[in-house]
Amino acid sequence: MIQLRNITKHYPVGFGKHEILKDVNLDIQQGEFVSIMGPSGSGKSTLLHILGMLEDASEGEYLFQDEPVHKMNDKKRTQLHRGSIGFVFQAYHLIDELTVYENIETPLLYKNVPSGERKSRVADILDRFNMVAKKDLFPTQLSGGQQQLVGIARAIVAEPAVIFADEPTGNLHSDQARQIMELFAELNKKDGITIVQVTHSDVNAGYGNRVIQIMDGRIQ
Amino acid sequence: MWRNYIKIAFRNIWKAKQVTFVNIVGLSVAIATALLLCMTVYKEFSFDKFHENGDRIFGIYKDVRTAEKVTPMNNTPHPLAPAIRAEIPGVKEVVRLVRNGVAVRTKGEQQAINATYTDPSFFSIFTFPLLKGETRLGLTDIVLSETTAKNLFGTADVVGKQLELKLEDTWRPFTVTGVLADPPENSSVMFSSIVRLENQPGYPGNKDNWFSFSLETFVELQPGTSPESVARASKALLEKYYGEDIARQKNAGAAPGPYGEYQLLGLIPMQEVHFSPNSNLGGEKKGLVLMLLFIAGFLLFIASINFVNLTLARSFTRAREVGMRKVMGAEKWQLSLQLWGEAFLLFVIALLTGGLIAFLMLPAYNSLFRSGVSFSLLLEPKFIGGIILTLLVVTAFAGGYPAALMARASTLLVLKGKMSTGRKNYFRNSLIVTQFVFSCLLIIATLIAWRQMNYLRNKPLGYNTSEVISVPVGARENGSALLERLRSDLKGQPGILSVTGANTNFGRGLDGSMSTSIISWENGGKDMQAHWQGVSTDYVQTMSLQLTGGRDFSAALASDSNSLVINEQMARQFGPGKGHVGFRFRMDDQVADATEYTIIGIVKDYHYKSLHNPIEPLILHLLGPDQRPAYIFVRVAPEALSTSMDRLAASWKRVAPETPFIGSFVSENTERQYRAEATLMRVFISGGVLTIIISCMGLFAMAMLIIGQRTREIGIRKVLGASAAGVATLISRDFLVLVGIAILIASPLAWVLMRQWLKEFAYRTDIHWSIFVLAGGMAMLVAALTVSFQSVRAALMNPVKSLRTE
Ligand SMILES: Nc1ncnc2c1ncn2[C@@H]1O[C@H](COP(=O)(O)OP(=O)(O)O)[C@@H](O)[C@H]1O
Ligand SMILES: [Mg+2]
Repeated sequence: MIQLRNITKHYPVGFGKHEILKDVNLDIQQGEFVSIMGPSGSGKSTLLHILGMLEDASEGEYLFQDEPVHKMNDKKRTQLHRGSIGFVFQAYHLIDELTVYENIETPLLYKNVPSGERKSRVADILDRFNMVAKKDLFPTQLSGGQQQLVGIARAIVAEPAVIFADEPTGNLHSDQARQIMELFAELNKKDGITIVQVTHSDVNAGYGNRVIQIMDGRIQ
Repeated sequence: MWRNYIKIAFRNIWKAKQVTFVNIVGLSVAIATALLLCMTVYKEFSFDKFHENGDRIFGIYKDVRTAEKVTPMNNTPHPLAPAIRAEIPGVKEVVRLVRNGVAVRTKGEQQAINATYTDPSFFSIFTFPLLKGETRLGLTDIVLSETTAKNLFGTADVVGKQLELKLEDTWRPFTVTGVLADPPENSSVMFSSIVRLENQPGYPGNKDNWFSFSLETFVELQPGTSPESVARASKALLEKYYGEDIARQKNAGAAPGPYGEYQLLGLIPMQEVHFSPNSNLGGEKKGLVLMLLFIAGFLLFIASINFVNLTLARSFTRAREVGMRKVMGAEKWQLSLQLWGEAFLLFVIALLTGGLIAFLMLPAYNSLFRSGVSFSLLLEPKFIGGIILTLLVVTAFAGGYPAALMARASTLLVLKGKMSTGRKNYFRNSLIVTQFVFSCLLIIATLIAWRQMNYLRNKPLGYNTSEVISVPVGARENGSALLERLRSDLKGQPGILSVTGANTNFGRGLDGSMSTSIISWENGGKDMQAHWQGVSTDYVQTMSLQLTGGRDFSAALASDSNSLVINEQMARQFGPGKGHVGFRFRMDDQVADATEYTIIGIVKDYHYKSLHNPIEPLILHLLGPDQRPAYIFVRVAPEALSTSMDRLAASWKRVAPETPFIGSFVSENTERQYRAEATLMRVFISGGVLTIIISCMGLFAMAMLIIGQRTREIGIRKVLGASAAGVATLISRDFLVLVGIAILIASPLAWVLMRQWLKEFAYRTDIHWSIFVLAGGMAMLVAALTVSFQSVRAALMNPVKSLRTE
């Protein structure tokens, strides 16, 4: 599903350049649950952003579902963001002005899902995440764990093929972290969603079926 | 999706209550002002557009050439119109008109109304809808406006009714033949009653007199006739009737015009009459009107600047939302539309609020600026179109720019909250500078105009203004007889020093009029020109003119009827050996029995005209028995001025019971000459105050937002030991530098503009450097106060609290 060939990423620094990813080769199959691990500053987030098409690689080839990403136009990428890719962030990034229900509904609005189907899909997800009672609250009225649940709900409501999660439990304590990880495992097994997460915790990595170690921009 | 957008828009507005409030209030005030000003401008530019044949109607004036310049003569003589009609091809109709007060009597009840003396062609040339009867205008017919009909008879159904007008001291009967709708507010030709020109007092003497200029003349051309061809044809006509004058102009070395002419008629298109300096019905200052439009524009502009700046600053807090929406697959246009839509919503709220404010302020505005606009103007399609266009342009500018900026920014940067709004906020800062440039400009303009007005008010005019009461005689009374009655009634009363009369007033009296008469003749081969004023005896004494030689006109000496009192300028014009007391001369060398005049007195130059004009040669002559004073002047003792005023009013009531007493001190009249300047002052001050308020509102909200963004920095600084004062200075300084730059830009600009304005006055103050210092200081102070509200609050914040918010 995901194939990286000789991916390099660098930023200009002064007259030279700062290499963050060096010659990365990586294959991820449909249905895998991959954890990316490595010390701080090693390039994990950068890699995830490239995978999620939030950033372009400087060199190399990236095939997403067998299509070359570097040849895609904005429109195509927007289509993938709407349908195939879900994101979960460490800082949740919920829209503060929208309620739980509205936050989850937003991706469906961009996808032009008809109103009846939208309602039932959001209702299903709220039900599954045990959040029906909270649907009219605003993000600031929730705990961190609950916010991240909403973040995940929002990421999967459009039924993506893959979820990219950047330290999804970084701001949570272990009970909440376990709940999120169990949810990921379930989504992976039951719904067949491919999951790529960045994590610092071996426990979290244990929920997945493969670990990629990254160090100084190189995969070990 | 729309519901989602609208919901989020309202929640956003609510979340940023204070900023939104500032935004909306600033905009509403700007919109309200702009609406009012635009209505005035619209009205001014809509003048005389309602005449069906408007593009073929022209006002007539005459240009007279001398060696140095072309002098327009706005008034026309009686025989001109018939001559034009008979002798110039392509002229379909001509009409003459003159408007004067007249006493009217209906069933024994007396009132004063205005009568327009005119030709029957009035009705076919101009388009004033007929309500009742017909527009027949026989010699004893009268046509009334609806309001006048109702005032006189209590109803508009007055066709066939009788009334009497007092013309040349006799009551003459008239029959109402028709009632016209009141002339619209935007008509240069106003009327309340219309009678034949033949009824005008003095008509028989003026009928064939080419040298008495007192009428307005309009022509309606045949379709296809160009006004230029009429002007060109007028050369021959004027040569025929003004041959002697033209010969004299030639002799004096006048430069001929493009057709080789020395005199030519000028044609003012009807729709331009209102702004034409060559029509007595017009003369409105186009510059002043455009100034209003300019102020309306820039008030909207600076309020929009607030909007852009605040939206931009707020986009920091909106960045995460925008970023997240991009991650979820929002397209650029969707984001732009959403953000623009929010701006639009705010603007619509502000527009409605502004409209309401304008509606409530309209009466006050009308009385302050004498503009007479009504809200019904808003329903004009052009006006609605203008509002919609402005709305779109301003929202696109104010909402669209930040929207596009955010929508274009890289998703990752936006998500990380690292959205920057341009290099070092150059854009935002230059907008703030622009606002304060306008504010400073207006402060400086106000100060300079104010100083000039003070100068005008306090400059000694060379005669007594504060102890002389001027009373217009009015239409019903015979001025000479009234003057005599008043003199004997006031004789011996305490506080009354002397009484005189004249045919011209000083300044602008309560009857609103201002006039001048100029004569020119040849003396010893030299062209002479002077203001010619008829006065009564004791004039010099009453007005406290200072004699440098000779004496005042005296009632005791019958020979004074051919005596003159002149000013120093006139003496200088005569030249050495001539302009002295006792000098005799004739105004017409050719005619042997022409009147010989004797100079009996010379007075020091005094400002008998407004200070816009330099003092020109002046001749005072004694009013003859058939020339009646139109104004009576009474000099009273300096103590108990108002008692004297009351005493005069009481006496007036005894000697002229039918004419209301509208006396005023001459000083009030001379101030009234500067009405245009006073209006301009009010425009400057109001514009300046509004500009500063709106700019400061923007500054206030901006400081609030910036402090919001710098909460952490301020917290850390305080933990590290910064004092409250230090923090407040840190924040205020950035803003004050911007205001300083604005002052530097505005000062030279204001200097150039105001120097131009001051050139309108023959007597003017200089532009002192202290004005710029004062204006700069004021702007700085206001800005500092505004920002300090916020910066002091920030400086006093508990650092622990502010650090915890991140
Ligand atoms: N926009 C950028 N410009 C320059 N350097 C960057 C940028 N983004 C990230 N980096 C650098 O790239 C390196 C890797 O960052 P990141 O991928 O966020 O690491 P990780 O997520 O593994 O902690 C860091 O040294 C960081 O400073
Ligand atoms: Mg990271």
